[in-house]
Amino acid sequence: MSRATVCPGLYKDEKGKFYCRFADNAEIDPAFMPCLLEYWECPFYIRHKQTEKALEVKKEEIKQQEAPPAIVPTVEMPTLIVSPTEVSAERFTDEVDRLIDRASELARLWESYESEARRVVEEWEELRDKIKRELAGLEAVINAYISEKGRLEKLLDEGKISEEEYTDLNSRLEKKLAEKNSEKEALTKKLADLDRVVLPHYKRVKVAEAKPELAKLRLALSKLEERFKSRSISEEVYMRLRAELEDKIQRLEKIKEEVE
Amino acid sequence: MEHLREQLERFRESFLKAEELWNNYYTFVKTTVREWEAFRIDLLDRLSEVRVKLETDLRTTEELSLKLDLGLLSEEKVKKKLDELQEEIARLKEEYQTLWLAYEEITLMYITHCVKSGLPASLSAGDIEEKKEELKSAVNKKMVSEEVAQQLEKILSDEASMLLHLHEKG
Repeated sequence: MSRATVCPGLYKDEKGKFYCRFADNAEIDPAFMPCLLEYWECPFYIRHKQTEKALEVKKEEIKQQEAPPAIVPTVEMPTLIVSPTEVSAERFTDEVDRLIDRASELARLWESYESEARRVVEEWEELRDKIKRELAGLEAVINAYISEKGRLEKLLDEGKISEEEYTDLNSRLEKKLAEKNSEKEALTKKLADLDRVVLPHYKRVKVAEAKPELAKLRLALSKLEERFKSRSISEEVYMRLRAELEDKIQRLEKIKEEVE
Repeated sequence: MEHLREQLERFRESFLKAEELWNNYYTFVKTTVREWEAFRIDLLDRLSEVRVKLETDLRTTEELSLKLDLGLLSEEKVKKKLDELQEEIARLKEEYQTLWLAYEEITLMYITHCVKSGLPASLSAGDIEEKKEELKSAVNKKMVSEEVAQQLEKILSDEASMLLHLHEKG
């Protein structure tokens, strides 16, 4: 049996806020929960399913205990007020209406998800730039420490500082170097964690616009080449921007390939 | 004779006093030099960080205008980002200039007292040349103002002369 695309526990109020039936109706953000993804792996969904199953088992047990001896009753069939065909048509109409409602709700949910996911992706791109800038700063400090260590060794070799002075300064440097390295490591890990969580949403919202976006990026790349050839931009700027554009193109091409 | 003896005693005391003052001066310079060497690390730490962030922000500013021309970003977005960056750049530039000037002023004093006290300086003429190159690059990238660049150039030249003096002495 195929699963629904949205968790049955997800619902929205008039203000557009999302709630989870399975988490005691708590307010949630579907962009950060698996409501629109593999919701069957969500702990709230699993807990709900387990409770539901347990209740069914209990009901079955009670039914069996209360059930009278198996006597086949002679039940008089009631007189049908409407013909069987009419009943079936009405039932189908109800089901279609119900399905239309669900599909409309799904469209609304998707729209909300998409706009929220776009906001998240946009913020993610900005935050990534900031983290990368911070990492570049840390890298510069680490390099400064490394070159300072080299300078100290040279001073010791030349006899300009004593062994004692060298040991003292070098241990300070080692300590600071270790601190900065661990800061860098922690920040790199945070960035990877962030990428891991946001990338599935990025892929989903970018799928629809991958083709036009790719065309836009390729056009920008060719304009960039022209600017460089006409020497209106430096080689440094050209190389950096080219690498950025090529990276984006590659990422979108991968998404496009996955869909096709 | 009595008069001469008094004079001799006065000279002895003066030279002993001079010796004591010299010893105090030498010890004080040595301690200060050592403390400065340790503190330099913190200063270099901050200077490197501020320099790279300033470079990155200036580069981003340049790239934003280009991205607008290439149709990669909207005018509204570029304006918003530029406003944010300008504020940050002004703050970083101010910090960078202040720190660098203070650092070179103290370094000049450090070399001067190394020369006077006869202590070895941990800087070479090559280091000063590297700093001059760094200054040129900072001026080209508009990381320091013309005025600050001139002050720095003057200090760096004084540092180089002092080091030359130290080598001649040594």
